[in-house]
Amino acid sequence: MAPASRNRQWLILFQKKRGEHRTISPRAAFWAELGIFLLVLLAGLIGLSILVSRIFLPYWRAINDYRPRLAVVREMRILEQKSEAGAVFRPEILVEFEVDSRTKAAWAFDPRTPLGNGYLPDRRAAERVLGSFRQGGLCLVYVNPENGTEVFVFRELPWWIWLVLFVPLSLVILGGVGLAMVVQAGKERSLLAQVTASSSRFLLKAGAASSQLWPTIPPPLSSQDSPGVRLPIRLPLMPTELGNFFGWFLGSLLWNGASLTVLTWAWTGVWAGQQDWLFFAFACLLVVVGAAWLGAMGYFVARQWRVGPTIVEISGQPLIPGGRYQVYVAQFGHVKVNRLSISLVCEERVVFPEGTETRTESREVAKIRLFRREAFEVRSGLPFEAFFDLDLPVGVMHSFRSPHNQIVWMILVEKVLVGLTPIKRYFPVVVYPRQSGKVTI
Amino acid sequence: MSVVGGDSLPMVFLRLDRDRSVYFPGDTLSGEFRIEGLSRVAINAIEVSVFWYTEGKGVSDRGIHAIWQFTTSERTFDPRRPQRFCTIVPRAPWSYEGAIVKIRWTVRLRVILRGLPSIVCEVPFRLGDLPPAGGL
Repeated sequence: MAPASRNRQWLILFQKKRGEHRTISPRAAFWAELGIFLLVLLAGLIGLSILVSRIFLPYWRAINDYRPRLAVVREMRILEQKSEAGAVFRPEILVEFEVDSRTKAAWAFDPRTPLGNGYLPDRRAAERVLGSFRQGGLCLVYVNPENGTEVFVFRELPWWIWLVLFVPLSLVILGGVGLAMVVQAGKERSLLAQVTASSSRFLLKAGAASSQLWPTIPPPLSSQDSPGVRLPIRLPLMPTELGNFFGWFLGSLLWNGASLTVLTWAWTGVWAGQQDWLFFAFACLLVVVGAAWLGAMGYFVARQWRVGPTIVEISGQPLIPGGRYQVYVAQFGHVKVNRLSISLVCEERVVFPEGTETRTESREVAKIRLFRREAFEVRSGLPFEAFFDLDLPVGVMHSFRSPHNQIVWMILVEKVLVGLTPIKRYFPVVVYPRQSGKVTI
Repeated sequence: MSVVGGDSLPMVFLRLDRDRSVYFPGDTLSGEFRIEGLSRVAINAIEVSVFWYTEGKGVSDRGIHAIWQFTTSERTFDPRRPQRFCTIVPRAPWSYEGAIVKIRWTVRLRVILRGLPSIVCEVPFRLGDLPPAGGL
């Protein structure tokens, strides 16, 4: 018997329970989660639009609509503008250039700054910008054809701008995906509520339940829903690994987005002369952890790619205790396999409150060995294939599903591979109760 | 048979017709109840229900298969005389004794009194004859 496993339901932000007391209703939890992800998405979109409008759009407009001219740098200055929020500084260069065979002069600046319109938050940063120009030197400027005094000069963008771009992008992905998941969960909850309501009405009629089809058993896939190639029904892969991967991927996006923001902040401080090396080292440490996280994700993706997909098909569904079924398994990829074992497993799953958390627990209660093969190699374009029988014993429990309790049957494909951690893939099947009465077990 | 009460308290009798407590889908589940020591006017309503519920580590779920309500407003209703109920046993869920999930079936009689707490009496039964989980 497998040890119990506990998982935290990662997407449930609200709706925690204290004993039998629910702190918030499902409807309120839905709107609260929707609001949070909407805010994250909005923050990402605002950040992205600020970056695009202040950094990328001015350059794009200039190279498309303005006239490029080779100019000579004559003078330099720092324009200071004071406001209630404090002073801001714009480095400007006086350039001479020719338009229609006439020499003109104008003050030029680089409009791509975080504050917009060429302004920087401190004088030293503005001085550093002017340091990249030389009096009498040549530079490429862009002149507004409608207003000859509006002239832009573009420096090379610093490398950390691309890191800054990563932050709003992460927020957009995180908010968008979270929003989609919350909406999907809301749809499922509403569907469940409809089903439960109709079941309740129905069940209140005495003796009529026997004519209703399996309200506590999940519907099985038919050959029309998921046709197989070798056998009538192809079983879907239970997205356990993929679901975990998705959660970790979102987590890494959030971590890396936050750590890169901190690093950019620390780097800007160092760049501006405020040498807080301890803070900078801390920011570097955060980024290293984020990089290790991404490395682990890369390992997972590489492992999945090397192992390749697994296909499981079955001759019929639902399974009935006492019945015999044929199973087909195909393993693709390019990998050496130490051991491949296929079993039919039954797992109990429950949802329960623990303190302020809602937890899930699963326990494997039955495992029927179906197939085993050792030491073989799967090559690209030549999948490993096997047919075998599945004899379902008479005295087994059927599949069961209620809001907080489940009994799930799955075909488990376990692979022990050379140089990789063992891989388990689950393919759910549906077992109905046997149709005859008492049998001797 | 299940009996609740006695001595100076009202007595509630609930029993199923079959001696064996194991039923299979499609079987007829029938029984009767009677109440002694209570006049008709003291009873607000009587409710008999057949339902399954889960036990174990998870939050308990419940599904009602059948429910009957007996109102005492009719003059002919006499709670001391046996009142019958009958239903067809459904196909699922079967009774189950798992590691962290258990499914149980029961017939419950609830006598709702005027101005007093209800009296509840239960007769459990099994749907199917599955052995406890963990044998495979």
